[in-house]
Amino acid sequence: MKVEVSTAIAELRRQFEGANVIASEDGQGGAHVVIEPIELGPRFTPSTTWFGFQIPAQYPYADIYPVFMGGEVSRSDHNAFSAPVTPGHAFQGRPAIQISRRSAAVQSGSQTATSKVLKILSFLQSLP
Amino acid sequence: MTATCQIRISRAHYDGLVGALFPGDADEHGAVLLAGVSQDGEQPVLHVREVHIAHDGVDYVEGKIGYRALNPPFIHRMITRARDEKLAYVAVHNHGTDTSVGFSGIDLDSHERGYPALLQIGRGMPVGALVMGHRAAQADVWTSTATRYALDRIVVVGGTIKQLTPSPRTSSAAPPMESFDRQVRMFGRAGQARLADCRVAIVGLGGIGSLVAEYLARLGVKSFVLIDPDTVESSNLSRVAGALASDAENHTPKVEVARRVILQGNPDADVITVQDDVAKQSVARRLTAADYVFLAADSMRARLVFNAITHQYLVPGVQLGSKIRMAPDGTLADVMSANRPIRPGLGCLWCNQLIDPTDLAIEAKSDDERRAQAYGVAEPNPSVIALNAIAAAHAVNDFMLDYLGLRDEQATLLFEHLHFAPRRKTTLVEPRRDEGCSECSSTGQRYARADGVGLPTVDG
Repeated sequence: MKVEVSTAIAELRRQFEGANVIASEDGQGGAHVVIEPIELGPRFTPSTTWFGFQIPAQYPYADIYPVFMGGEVSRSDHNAFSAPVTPGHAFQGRPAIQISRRSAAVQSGSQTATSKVLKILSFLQSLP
Repeated sequence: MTATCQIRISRAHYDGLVGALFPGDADEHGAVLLAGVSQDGEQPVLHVREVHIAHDGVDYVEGKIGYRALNPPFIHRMITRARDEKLAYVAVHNHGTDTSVGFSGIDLDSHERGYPALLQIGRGMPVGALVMGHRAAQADVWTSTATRYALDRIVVVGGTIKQLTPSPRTSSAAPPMESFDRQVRMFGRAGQARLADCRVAIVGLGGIGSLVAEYLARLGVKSFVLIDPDTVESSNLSRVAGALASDAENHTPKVEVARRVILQGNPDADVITVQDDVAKQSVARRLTAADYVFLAADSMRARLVFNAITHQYLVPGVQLGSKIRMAPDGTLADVMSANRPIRPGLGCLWCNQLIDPTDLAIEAKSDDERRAQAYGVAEPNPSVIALNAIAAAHAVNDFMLDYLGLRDEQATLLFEHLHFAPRRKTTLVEPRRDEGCSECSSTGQRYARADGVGLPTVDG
């Protein structure tokens, strides 16, 4: 695993203290990461889930994209998810909802794996 | 035989150094270069990251033994910076000579008095001296292995690529000039010999790269590194130079087809083939000692690695490609070829946003993952040989003119996009230079650090 990737994982563990941050090597120097539990709040049912994503070997040049959450999650207001949040996927064998959000911040060097996860959480909270 | 080293420097740094050494007063002046270090076989290569001009009367003063010398506090400041930054230390002064230059006995005595101590302070980084004439240079570089290296050549990498040696030299690999008679009439025997000495790397030996290989071989380039993981398929026969139906049947590696084409054009060529992905660490390392790199593979991960090598090892190159884009109604939306010269400080694919971070993420996935995440799998783009030939010829023509110094140095290198349909137009783009760019800025994490930092590669 490349040092940039292991550093990002250590930062995730600091940020999500109390959650399990499980990383497995992807064979190229990157990692597949699962963070569990993730607190989504009352707008979603269930209100907690997991996040999964790949940190590519070419991180931090490569984006963290896409991010997955548990396939059982639905909106508490019963509205269906719509693109870029799409159900019916899988991450590392687990049923998952895919969240396909590109990040312009990668180019400026201001994005980390942790900030990407926090941005995805913020995006979910801001869904209309 | 004397051991030799090589020094690589950007045109901007070189111009600043020469301007300070030769201000027109016919006097002697001094400077210190701090440089990243790599190894090319037995030869250390110093990549100039910082140029520190020694101010006359303050940093460059009357010598106790020789005419002038660097002031000890300046030396101390520079060697401790070299130690802290893990860079080589090279003290520079000038002589008034023209095409040949060498150290005086006083110079060499001063090296023997001072450099053992500087090696200790520098904690293993090379230390040494460089003396420059108007069109020549000589070095005396010391390493921790107790070996001293004279200068093989300085390579000045700008829009053009200039070389300085201790004295005029004839090529050790002088080609049979009658084979190249018509082009020797353009750039002379020295130019032809310089092409024969040039080590070129081509990444991607498909529709464009295969043509680049043929053009370079027939031009007289003798040393090639060819990198491509793919094999020939029947759909390649329309545009991969030299590919035969039997290659498609036998799934011949594209690099082997290119080798065959090169040897047909230049039987003396030395060709190294690597059937693998340039994004892998072990493969990317092959590019670090090239004299020029042609990037004719259109993956974002290849662009990222190529761009990094250009700025980290001061290797000139070009990213070239062609693109045919179809509109939803099936008509031609765009037919274009692109030629993007990349030099240290002159053009960068990262800060010009030509490396898409999301595509890098998608390229890191397996085919199964891409399919499951609905990104599609390797859908082939339209491609035709005539359009590819324009990109290839454009890039090789630029290489010939720039590598042999057949045209004037330009302050700005332009990205050139030639559009042929739906209407004909040429777009010249002046590349942006982001001062904070991690890749190309001379104060960024990567610039000229050579083996001192890692490449943005994947394992393998």
